[in-house]
Amino acid sequence: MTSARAEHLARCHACGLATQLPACPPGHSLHCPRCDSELHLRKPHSLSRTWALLIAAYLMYIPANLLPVSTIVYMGNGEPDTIISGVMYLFKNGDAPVALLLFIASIAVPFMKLVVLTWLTLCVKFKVRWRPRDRTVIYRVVEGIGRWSMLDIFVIALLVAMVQLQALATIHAGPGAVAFCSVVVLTMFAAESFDPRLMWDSFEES
Amino acid sequence: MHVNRIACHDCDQLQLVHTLMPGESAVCARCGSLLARSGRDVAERTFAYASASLILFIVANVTPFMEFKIAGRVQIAYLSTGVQQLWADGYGELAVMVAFTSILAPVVLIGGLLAISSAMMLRRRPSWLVVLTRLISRLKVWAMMEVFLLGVIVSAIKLGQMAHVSFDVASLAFVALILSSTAALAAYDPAAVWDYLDGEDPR
Ligand SMILES: [Zn+2]
Ligand SMILES: [Zn+2]
Repeated sequence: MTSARAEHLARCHACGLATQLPACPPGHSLHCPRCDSELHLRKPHSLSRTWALLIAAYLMYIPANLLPVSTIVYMGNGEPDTIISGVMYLFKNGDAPVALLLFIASIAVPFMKLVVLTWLTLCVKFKVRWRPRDRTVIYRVVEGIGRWSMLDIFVIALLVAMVQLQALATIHAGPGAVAFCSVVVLTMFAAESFDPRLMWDSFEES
Repeated sequence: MHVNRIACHDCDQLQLVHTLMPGESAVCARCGSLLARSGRDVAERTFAYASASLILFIVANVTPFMEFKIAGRVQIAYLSTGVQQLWADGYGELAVMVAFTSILAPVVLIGGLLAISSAMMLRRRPSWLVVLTRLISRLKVWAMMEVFLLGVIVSAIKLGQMAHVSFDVASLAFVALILSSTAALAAYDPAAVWDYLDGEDPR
């Protein structure tokens, strides 16, 4: 069997129906007969959209790690924490499992996601044929795991909600949290705009 | 036996898949991704879990979630207190994202599943069914209740060093909500809705 594209069949990205496209492209856009979504053989401008989102995510990654994500004001003294200093503090104070969890969700996963998506996009760009099946699995994992990076944002929201004892102690969010949240959202969009079928197309073009 | 021609979502390989028996699933021969699956009583089971989820969602949002005791003072937090506090602190972006992923997306998802399964059980094909089915597919990744729950556990451990933290009714309801909404999503099968919209009887 061949790919759907070789048969001029477009798989609807919303409902999955394979629709026959006319041999010569018409001037107007084509829509799915079942759900009316616009039909494309591949996600439109997949690579350039993924690049744009990845570059934006790399840029936001810098303030996300340098600026404080939260500030604990205790007895009038403010103590700002970045993502890394927060994890280090937990490690030193004997909460190793929680520190490890936050390390994975806030540091390892976003970084891995940026690196892996960059690598996958480069592989497509240079028509690399290395283990497409494994790369497809890696893409699925990266796409599915990204949402867990929101963990730190939820922790900050909950701490801010719980600790509002004006005179004694308060916790406030910091600008780093906004940058970090945007990294999570941008990489989620980047993973979504990447079309895994492009990894398989180089096998048919020769 | 009916044979469908399905293009793989991940590698575009065209494959012939015969009509699946309930409980069966088909996997792509080239890349291993799921091509299709067939559930039993999709509409009825989705409806049951989604309606339980809706009740639990309401309980989780209107009753106190956590209590925090320090130096004789008690602080009560609701599920949405963090959103309000972030907003009040001038972090509107964070407030919007937390509200969207922990409250808005989950409730639209649950309500959507309820509406879709009801329409199928009543043998109706209203025009909004197509739009809603498409919306639900896109919204799924943004409903992050299970990540939020992990955040609750982490923040309780963090605060536990400072003071006494106790969980209220809403936290229990929230855990049950995650279980029932996960079950609703597992019972739900968008392909069954599309087949139903094509004129087939609901599976
Ligand atoms: Zn469609
Ligand atoms: Zn495949």
